[in-house]
Amino acid sequence: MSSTVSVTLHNSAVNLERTFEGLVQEYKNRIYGYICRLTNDSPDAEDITQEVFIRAYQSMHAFRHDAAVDTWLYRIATNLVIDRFRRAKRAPQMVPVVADADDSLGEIPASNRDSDPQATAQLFELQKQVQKAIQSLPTKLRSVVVLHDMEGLSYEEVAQAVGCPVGTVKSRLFNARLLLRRKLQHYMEGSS
Amino acid sequence: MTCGKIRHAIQAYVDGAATRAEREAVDSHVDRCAACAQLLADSRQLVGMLAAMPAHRVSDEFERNLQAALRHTAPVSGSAAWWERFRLQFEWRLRFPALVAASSLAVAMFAAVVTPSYVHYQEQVEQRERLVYSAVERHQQLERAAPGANWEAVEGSIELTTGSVVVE
Repeated sequence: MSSTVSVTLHNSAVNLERTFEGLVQEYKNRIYGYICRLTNDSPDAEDITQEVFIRAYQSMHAFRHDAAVDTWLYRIATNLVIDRFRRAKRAPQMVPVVADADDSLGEIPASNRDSDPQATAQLFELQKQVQKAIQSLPTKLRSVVVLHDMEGLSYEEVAQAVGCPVGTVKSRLFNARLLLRRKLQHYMEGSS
Repeated sequence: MTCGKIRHAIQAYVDGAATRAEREAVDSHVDRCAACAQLLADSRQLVGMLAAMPAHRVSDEFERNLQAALRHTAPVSGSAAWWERFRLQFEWRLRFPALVAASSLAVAMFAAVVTPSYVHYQEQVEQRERLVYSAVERHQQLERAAPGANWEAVEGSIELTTGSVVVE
């Protein structure tokens, strides 16, 4: 579940600056991770993340205090990514660059790499396959499974973030997991 | 419960969102259904794998870049936000400035061609009306000055350029 938001949003200039700094500190990596997973680690992911916070800054006055801040940010991010996808569909297609194995080794904690190289390699291979499977999902299913299973949002929070009913979230989650299980069947059986 | 219903209940079960009745139904069902038991195990494993994926981190320059971008950005006021919503709603119009410019040019060209001709025509009509009015007025003046005169004996001409009547 999403963490309880400790910051409160006010409209006065000083509070706005302070609150916004705290908001960036607390959510920058989560929003960035979400965007990376939605955009298949696009090189623009950090720019989109920056755009999310700029939009948030511009519209802090309109933030509804009964909603969670992270849900609000995820919603901005979702809309921005979908908007980019739509524009990209009209623009010439770019072939996504699949990260080479060595490029992502930094994501695995150094202690794991040092302690058991074989286990580390297996873990890395598994994560790579999971990432590929997620990337193969349609955007609507991907956003729901990333928000719920990776970002830890509840059904209701996911519904707010992507702007659809809770029943649709459950249905999309069901279908997303079904597809992921099929794609990862080999690895799941191997590890069980 | 059938396997179809249990499959949906398994999702809520794995997510910790199942009711007590759903949990009992799933527990009871998977005891005697190997396929659903496998589905429950796979679902748990999949959720565990997804949750264990490494987190992403922004670069060290992220906040500095964001602050630089925000220097040129002010929080949008309520009225500005209203305008922004309005602008977004009609964004499609803004996406076709060329169409707007072409339409304006066409209207301007049409006006440039048609207006002078129309103005010239109007001036001619007005001048003709003035001449006729002036001639009639002059005739009335002469009628008042010499009532009952034999107009057939009066030779004269109407100067169309000035509208005056000359009696010789």
